[in-house]
Amino acid sequence: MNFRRVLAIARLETRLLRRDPMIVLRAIGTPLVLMLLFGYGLSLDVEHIPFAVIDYDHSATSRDYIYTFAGNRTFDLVSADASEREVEAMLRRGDIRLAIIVPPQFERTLYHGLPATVQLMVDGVYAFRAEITRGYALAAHERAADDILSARIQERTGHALDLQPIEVRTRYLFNENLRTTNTIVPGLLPMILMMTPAVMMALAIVREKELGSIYNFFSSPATRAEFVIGKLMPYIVIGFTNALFLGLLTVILFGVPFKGSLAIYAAGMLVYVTATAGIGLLVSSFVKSQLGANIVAMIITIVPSALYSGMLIPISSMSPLTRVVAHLFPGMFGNNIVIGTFLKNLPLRAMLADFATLGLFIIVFMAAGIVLTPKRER
Amino acid sequence: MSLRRFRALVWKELLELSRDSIVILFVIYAFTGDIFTAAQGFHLELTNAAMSVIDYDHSAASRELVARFAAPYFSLRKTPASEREMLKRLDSGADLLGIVIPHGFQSDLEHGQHAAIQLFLDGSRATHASLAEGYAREIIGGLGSEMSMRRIGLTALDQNRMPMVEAALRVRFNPNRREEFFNGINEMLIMLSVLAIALPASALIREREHGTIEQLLVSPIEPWELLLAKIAASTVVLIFGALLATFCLLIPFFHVPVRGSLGLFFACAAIFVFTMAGLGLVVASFCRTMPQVSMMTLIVMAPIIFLSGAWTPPEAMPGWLAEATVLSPLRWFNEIAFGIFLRGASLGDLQRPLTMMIVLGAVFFAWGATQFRRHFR
Repeated sequence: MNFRRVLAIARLETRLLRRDPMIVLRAIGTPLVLMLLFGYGLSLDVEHIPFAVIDYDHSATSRDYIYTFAGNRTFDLVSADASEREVEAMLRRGDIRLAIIVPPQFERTLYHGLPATVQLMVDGVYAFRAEITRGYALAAHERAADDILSARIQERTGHALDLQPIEVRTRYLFNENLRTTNTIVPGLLPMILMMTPAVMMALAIVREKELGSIYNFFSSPATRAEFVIGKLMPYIVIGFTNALFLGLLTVILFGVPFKGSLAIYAAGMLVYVTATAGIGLLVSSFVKSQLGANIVAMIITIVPSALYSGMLIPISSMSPLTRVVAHLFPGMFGNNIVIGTFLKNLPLRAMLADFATLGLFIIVFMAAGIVLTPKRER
Repeated sequence: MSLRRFRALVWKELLELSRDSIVILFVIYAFTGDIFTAAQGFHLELTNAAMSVIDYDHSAASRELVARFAAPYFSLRKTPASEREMLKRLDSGADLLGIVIPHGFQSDLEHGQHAAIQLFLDGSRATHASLAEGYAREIIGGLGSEMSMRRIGLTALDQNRMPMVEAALRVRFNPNRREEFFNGINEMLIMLSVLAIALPASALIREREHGTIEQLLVSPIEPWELLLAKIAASTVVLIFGALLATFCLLIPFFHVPVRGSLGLFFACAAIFVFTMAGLGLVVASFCRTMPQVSMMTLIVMAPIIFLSGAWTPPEAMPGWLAEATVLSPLRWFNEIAFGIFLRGASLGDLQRPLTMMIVLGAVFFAWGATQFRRHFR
């Protein structure tokens, strides 16, 4: 391989990129906008859950029970005295995500020392929200039920009975206050750095094929490897610059602590963006049209970068098949390195497997890209 | 507008697409393979969360507590020898949580004193860690109140004769909490959104890059006819994709219920594709080359998906962002699609989202068409 020729091709590509009037937007603007939007907007905290109540009892006890739900910012009371039909309509339109039905004779049944049953209806349409809502609703119910029970026991026996004698002390490792920002914002880095280099690179070679400028390469002394590597280089530089820039933003703007080694982070991101640009290279080498490259790159990066990287859903919660699919994309390994350096301060040897796998991706993508790129008309 | 001319234009677009076998292959993959992996792939609830326990008490109470951390939520992996080993397992990501039960746990409770249990959770997996904390607290709290009642001589049997408030919890529209309903429908909608923007935008820029658009524009074809034909062609392709996903995958394979009218769903899907395609035209009007289109599509696409509220409820977003979700056509189509499939919503229930979607579609198309004219006149 002749490195002068590689550099010449890299220079050519760089010049082309520099002369694109939208280059600032393409190179820095897109990652930046994605980062700001998601960083501020992508909160998985479930708060202000809208709920309605059908109160058949209208007693002090039923109001106390409902107040446990309404009295904090987890739940927002929409209607305290709705009819069954109204609640049904609200659920069907998705206006509320929880309905509480307090039965008639609620207070009297409890006063006579008998158990009473409250119905809780959770909107199960959006799975993740439903799961959280269900957990919060049960916890609030538990608190309300304990208060009522201990009040009744105290009335009866004159003794206070503590129904929560076990204190739970929780410590969140790596993220003491359980700020979701601390895991979501670093999690965005591998996601954005998978989409943007791959989509940019996807068009680099196929574009020359479609517009005919690839004949310059056919007639040049450059080999396929020199051409492919030269083409790849500017995109790796752009991706790497973004990795450093967005990493800085994560710390400065979003206040996420950076606990690990900057050198490992930089090395990891260099390997990672090379691998993700490699996805684009692979697409670029087998697709025939720019339209095709565009569509293929979107399908194989947008969703996998978010779903299979472990950012939204931990790998351990995936089905066996999907776990295999997750391992076929660089996202997961990049996520391990980002979380490992940002939050966990892991030593390099704990992440060697991730580095090695990313290296393997680079070799496979490059080899396929070189083999599939034509050196003559096909 | 001549109907024959319009038909010919749509046909030309479809032919052009159908001759690119890789595009066809990946569009089919998007609506089958991709939806399949996503639909069966994720457990958003807590399943088999790996945990470890250090029990310093070795009592009946501590053993009972450990026994209650059971499948399907938790899976007890190993008993670490020390707290250091427990933390190491959490560090490496092997476990999600660790529990330490102190000396004297049982005797403290028997004497009516407070006992404390230490939970360690992997905060780098924030969402599942908080779910696990919730379940752990439920289990520990349950044991605590039982022990308290036992102390004053009340057994579990007596609890039926106690003033206890019980909860009958029902998950509506998906009583068995089958996650593939949400995952499958959501993935189909995302694929529709991505392709509905990218397909017409790319098709338009291709004509522009090759210069064939000049030929079309000197012909009797009106510019807006050309745009409408491109949108119509992608609508045909994508509705075919949605049909494929619904009838070959979601209904027969994942048993996604259809409680509303499928006809209504596909009609709304066509309007949605039209709306997103209008946005695609706007994107294309700002671009001259295909690489520019792909980046612009990302910028426009990503917020639309993440502001749609499927993952992140609008009411938990900062106020300005929650208001911005109004502009995401996918937000409205989410309500429509999930409404029809799972909630059994009728046209009457869907008035607001449908109106919003149509308004957005009209605005986007008008905007894109004006931009397009400006470039060519």
